[in-house]
Amino acid sequence: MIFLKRLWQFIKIIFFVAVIVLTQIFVINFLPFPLSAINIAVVAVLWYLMFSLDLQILFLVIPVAFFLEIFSAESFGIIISALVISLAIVGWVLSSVFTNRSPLIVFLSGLISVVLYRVLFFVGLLIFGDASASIIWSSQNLLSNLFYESVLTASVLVISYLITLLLIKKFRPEYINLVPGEHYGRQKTFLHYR
Amino acid sequence: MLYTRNRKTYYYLGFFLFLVISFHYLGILRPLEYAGRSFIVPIISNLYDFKVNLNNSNFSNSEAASTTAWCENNQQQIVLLSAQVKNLENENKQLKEQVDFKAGNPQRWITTAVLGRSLDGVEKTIIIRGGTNDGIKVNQPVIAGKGILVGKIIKTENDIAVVRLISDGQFNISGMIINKSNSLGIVEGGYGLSLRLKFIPRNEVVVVGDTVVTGGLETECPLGLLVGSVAVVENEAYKPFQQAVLTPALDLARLNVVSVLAK
Repeated sequence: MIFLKRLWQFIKIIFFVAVIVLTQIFVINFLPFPLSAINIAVVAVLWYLMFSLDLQILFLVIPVAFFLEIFSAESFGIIISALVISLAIVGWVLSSVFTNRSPLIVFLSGLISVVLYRVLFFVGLLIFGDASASIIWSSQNLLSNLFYESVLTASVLVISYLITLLLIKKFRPEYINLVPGEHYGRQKTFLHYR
Repeated sequence: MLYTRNRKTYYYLGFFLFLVISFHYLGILRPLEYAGRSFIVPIISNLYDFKVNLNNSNFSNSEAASTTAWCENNQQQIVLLSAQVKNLENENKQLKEQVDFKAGNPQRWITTAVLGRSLDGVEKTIIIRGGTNDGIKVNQPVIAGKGILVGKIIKTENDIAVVRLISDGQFNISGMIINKSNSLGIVEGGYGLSLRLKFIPRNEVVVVGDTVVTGGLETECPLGLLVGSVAVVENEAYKPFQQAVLTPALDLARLNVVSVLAK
């Protein structure tokens, strides 16, 4: 029985990782710029953290980033570290500082995640990659790309958050029995694999 | 209690991250990486092909009309260019005779398919089929059509390679303008759809429409691969060099087949 339970949890993790990676592939290869700049991994993880402060979800960032990393041109470890560290920081911020879940806070957390991710990515590139600071800074598209990526990712996060809230209200009327201030995610969700 | 648990999560997360990166560099994760690539590459490839085909089928009447107008406007330039090409062909023939090429062509062209874009949204890189097993190496130039430079190889695996496109912010290569003085400069990407040729001496005359080719200063990249044409010239009195905005010779979003120039 325990084996089956573990197997089911494993299948759920694989499914979650596959969905994120496949969605990211679709966004990058199919959508036109600037929509292709949306970071699906950040959206998925933050969406989950909005409803549940279970930081175990951060472990799923590693396999997701791993698959993004094997197609990256940069030294292995830069994307994976930048993504994990930025989301870990934002996870802490969401549990300790931004405890409110208004759309503005959701937007801000998306914005901070992407900006942190890119800053860490470029720092990693400077330290471990083959790019010099002058090449990175001389690129005029750097700031506009960062702007598009952060704003679009945060916007998609807010939209998905609001849609989920709406669906919860529509399909789960018992939400009104929750203690005020308690997060919805304290209840079991399909992503609880522990 | 929650904070203690969170702290433990962070410790384990850091440890797990360290393990993954270490295992990669030790080669332990290689089978997993290979399996992941085998699974993901067909998906990327099919999606990319579908998008390219869709783009091609969306070539509307208005686009066709504007393209025709563009062709007519540039007909004169094409005649001039074809004259230049004939001169260059003659020159090339003489040079080939002088340089004692081996029988056939000493340069090897590895023609391969474009699988798709890399999964990082910001970088302008593409993944191509073929890697170290096929003799593809880092820094080799990648061309499309009849010698149009599209990028350089920046990473190789056994079965795939990553190409940095000329429009990427980290791309740079020596370029030469086909004018009286054969002005040299550095071609740089990172400016949206256009490129820039920097560090052109101010005393040299650069005209809009001039063709830009590779300068041949790198060991891997030969002279004369087409890069694009000059769209705008920026020559300001207080700057030691002038620079030119270039229009690439090819739409980099519609690449299906490319060739790697291997020596």
